[in-house]
Amino acid sequence: MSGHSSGEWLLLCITALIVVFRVFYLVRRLWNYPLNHGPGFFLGVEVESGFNAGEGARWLKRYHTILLAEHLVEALALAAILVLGRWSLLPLWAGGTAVFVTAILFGFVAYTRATLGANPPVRSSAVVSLERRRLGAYISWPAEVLMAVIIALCWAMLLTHGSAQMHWNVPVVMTYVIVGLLPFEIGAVRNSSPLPSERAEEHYRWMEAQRRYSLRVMDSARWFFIVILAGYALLHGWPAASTIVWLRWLVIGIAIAVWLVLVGIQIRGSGRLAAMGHDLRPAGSWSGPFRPARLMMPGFSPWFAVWFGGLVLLLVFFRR
Amino acid sequence: MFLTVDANDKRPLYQQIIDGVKALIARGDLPEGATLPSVRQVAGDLGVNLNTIAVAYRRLQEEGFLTIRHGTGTIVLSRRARAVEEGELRQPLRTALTQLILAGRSDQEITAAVRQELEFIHQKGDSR
Repeated sequence: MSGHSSGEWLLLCITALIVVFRVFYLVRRLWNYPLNHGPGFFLGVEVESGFNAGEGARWLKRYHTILLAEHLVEALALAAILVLGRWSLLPLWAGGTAVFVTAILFGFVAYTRATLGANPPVRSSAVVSLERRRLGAYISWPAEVLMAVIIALCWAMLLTHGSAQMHWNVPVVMTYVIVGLLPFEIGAVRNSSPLPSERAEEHYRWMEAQRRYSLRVMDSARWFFIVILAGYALLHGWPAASTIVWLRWLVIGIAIAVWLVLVGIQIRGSGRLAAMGHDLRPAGSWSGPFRPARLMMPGFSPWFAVWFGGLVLLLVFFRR
Repeated sequence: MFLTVDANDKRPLYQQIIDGVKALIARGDLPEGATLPSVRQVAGDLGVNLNTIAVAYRRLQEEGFLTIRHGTGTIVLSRRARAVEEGELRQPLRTALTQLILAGRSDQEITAAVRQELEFIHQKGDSR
């Protein structure tokens, strides 16, 4: 253990924080997630009354088994990293497991929809809101300009003064993630679903809260990556950085603070959304008169495939 | 403000949109100067063709209820339709009253129904 640097010890502390957050999220948010909308729904699919006592219990057991298996794989990977002392792999573990759990859950939701919810109820009427959704009301353009300026400065610094030991994978991947998330934000504002005719206003408020929540999560994640990019550019592109001892700690402190904000948004936001929508009809659980039930909003799936595929290609390219 | 559309309604979709927006204007839910969402937004949210909403907006514009300004969007102009003759205004009412009489409703029942509908229209706030 004594062979590890202070940076690696810090990575270990951050990983411990991530583990605490993930355990909390598993117990408080994910465990009963399929029952979030009351007894009439399972994982966003409308079911008959009494389903959760019979067949639903088996579905819930299947869901819990998959969830536990996924977390077991994560725990084993973490244990292997710690036992082998390869602490530099901890950031990869953190990012990789976040993608892994999302993919597993998404896959299970898609499977549930394709089997249990293959024939969603079709309603003859639908409600649409006449509130105008302006991009500027959801996305702060001054903040976007600030992000663009910071990215440009970082690249200018790295291209002109980048040290010989620096790895280009960090700025390239960070920039790709930060810029690539903006179309998701625009898509989240532009796309919506029809509202059911009963309790339309409550459904509308809930949908708006979901939209704002996803934008805040994406925004704070982008700021987290901006801090990492800026920190990397400062430490590797500014010659005087090596003489300033506290600079590294300042960057790490800001990154942790932004990450804690992101975690706070997720914990509070997901709890609030679950409370708001506990007896509401989830979007995509029913087909409107002019639109079929959809798991994802239109336009999201192709962009996600392009963006995620590009990210994987970049990671593979830089691991060669 | 919400607009309900129904596939079982005998009116075409664009007509449902037109009538719905007019009802919101009449009720005061859409005051003069209020901005409506773009054609693309409404069409996307409902999952219908852009042209359907564009036709509805164009008809409302022709009738003097809306104006489409580039940059600012679609604005509600006025609560008053363009000048039309009294006879033209009353024609749909006459048709509806005839339908009610043929359906066997008494004059008292029809008067009560008309009063209820008027109260509903003037009941600001609940737009559904």
